[in-house]
Amino acid sequence: MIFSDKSFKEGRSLATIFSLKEWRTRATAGVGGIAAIIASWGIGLFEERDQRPPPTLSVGHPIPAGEWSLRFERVIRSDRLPDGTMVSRSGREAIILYVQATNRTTRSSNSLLQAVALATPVKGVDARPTAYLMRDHAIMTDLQPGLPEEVALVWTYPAGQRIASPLRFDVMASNFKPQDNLYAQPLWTDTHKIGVVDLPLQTAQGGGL
Amino acid sequence: MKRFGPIAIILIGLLVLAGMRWTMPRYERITGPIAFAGKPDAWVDTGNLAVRAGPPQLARTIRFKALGKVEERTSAGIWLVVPVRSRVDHATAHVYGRIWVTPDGRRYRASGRVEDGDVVLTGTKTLQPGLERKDLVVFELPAELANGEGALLLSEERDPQLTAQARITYPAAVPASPAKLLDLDELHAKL
Amino acid sequence: MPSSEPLHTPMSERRMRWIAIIAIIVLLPFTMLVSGWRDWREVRRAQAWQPVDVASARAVAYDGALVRLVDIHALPPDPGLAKDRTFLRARLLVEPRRPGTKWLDCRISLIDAASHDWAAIETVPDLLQRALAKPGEVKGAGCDGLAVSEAKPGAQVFVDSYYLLPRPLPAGLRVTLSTRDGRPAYLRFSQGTVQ
Repeated sequence: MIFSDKSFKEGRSLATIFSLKEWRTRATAGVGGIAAIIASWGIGLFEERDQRPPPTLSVGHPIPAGEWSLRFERVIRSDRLPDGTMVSRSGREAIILYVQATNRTTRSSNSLLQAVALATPVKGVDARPTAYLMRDHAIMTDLQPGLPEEVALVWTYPAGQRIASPLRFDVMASNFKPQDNLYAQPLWTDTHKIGVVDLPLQTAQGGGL
Repeated sequence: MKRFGPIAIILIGLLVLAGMRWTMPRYERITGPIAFAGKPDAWVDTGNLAVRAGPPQLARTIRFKALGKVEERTSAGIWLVVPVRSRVDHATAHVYGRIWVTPDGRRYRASGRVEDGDVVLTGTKTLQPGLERKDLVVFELPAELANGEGALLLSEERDPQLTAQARITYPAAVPASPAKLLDLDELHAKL
Repeated sequence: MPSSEPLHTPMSERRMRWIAIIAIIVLLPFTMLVSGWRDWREVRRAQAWQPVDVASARAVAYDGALVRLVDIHALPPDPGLAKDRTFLRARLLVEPRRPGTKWLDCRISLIDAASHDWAAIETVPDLLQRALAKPGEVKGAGCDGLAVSEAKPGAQVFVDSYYLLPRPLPAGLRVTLSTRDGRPAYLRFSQGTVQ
């Protein structure tokens, strides 16, 4: 600190406590930290601003969702699984969502289980659905690229609950990256919600299949 | 001349580095399967596993015996069935990797819908030294891609990395019309 | 900026360079050795390299247990069975010696004179077990279960493993046994007659 004689005698003011040279040095020393604070504040504001409600997607038309092309058809509540087993024997009931799914990737895949999530809260419901291939009435192993198939996604929940209709499903999609950052290999990454689908809940008639 | 010495060294260095970068194979290629190429109806020896694949058959529906019952499978596309003979030279092995590569580069894994078939080659079937196997490998393909052209990849591991993989290339064939119903047990008996 | 030091004489600079090069030549292999030692130990655990030959009817200590080959015998030819193949059963008697012997990743295989290796059948159907059982003998357990790990020291555990081999049986069939903690050493029982 350079105290000029004049300032000491005439009383303090900021401009005379430090000389201009000192001010410049201190300002340049602090500019990096100040810039970081402003940048992080700005990014935080930007992320806040970007929250829009997810779009409601249409039923009955194919929805491109990254790896999968999904066409939602209907959802029913039933006590019988698509392969014929009575899930009511273990005290549960099933929500069965019928979709037509097409694998848009170049490899056989069963990541369909991660593409649709049940958004309507139901107590005790399965976290992940089980997929059944309706052609065989059996559990789906994987779907081949380019072949559209009727698939039933099943969530079971403890029997006797009232479920609000319409049911809401989140549709998740991944982005395709031709070369990832680590191995330069093609990768489906960054799974995010692209929309929601609302379907009225129907009760199964008779056999429920 | 002396002044251009360092510049020349830098330029040559740049050229060499650029050349190395452009000719370097991708990581998945360097750590990928060790391919053993072959033709249909010929034995392809990959060290332990040796396979001999025959002509593929196309069908719209297949029928096969599984766990004592007769099953039928329909498809939105077409079924491609390849008869394969396999044997091992040193030690017990399974054929976990069964992939069909179409001409446009798509990779179809052997269909999981015929896993229990008695005559279908699945990961549960074991190859013992001294005992040759005759099985069928079954794929489900979109109708427009199935004309018998492609490559069959067979390997002991499901995703071979630095391990052997047999690659049998099938040339484009005159597309015969696919059979309406193919009985896999009958086809296997004829092998 | 630090105050400059007096100029180095050309002689000591060359010496420093040599010392640096020699240091790298010495330090680099040692660093690789130290950081790779644990991985090297794991590689040794996975491979069975060192055979320990066992004379017939002798018991040998291996991985905390006394092991003896009881017998290996094959299914007699049967009209219902394919002519070119047969099933075999190898029976070992294992007596854990130390408490808490954990026999992990146990591999019992059959080898022949031409170094072919037959691995044990993973899920053995009951029919096969009954067909190869001799009357009046104790039921054996699989080696990959907890039968040996949970047995008390001194108890006798019969370990059975089943194989599918071509018929006629290859010459020079021997049983080999290795476990995770016993590898890279493995037991190679001398060829007895296969009944």
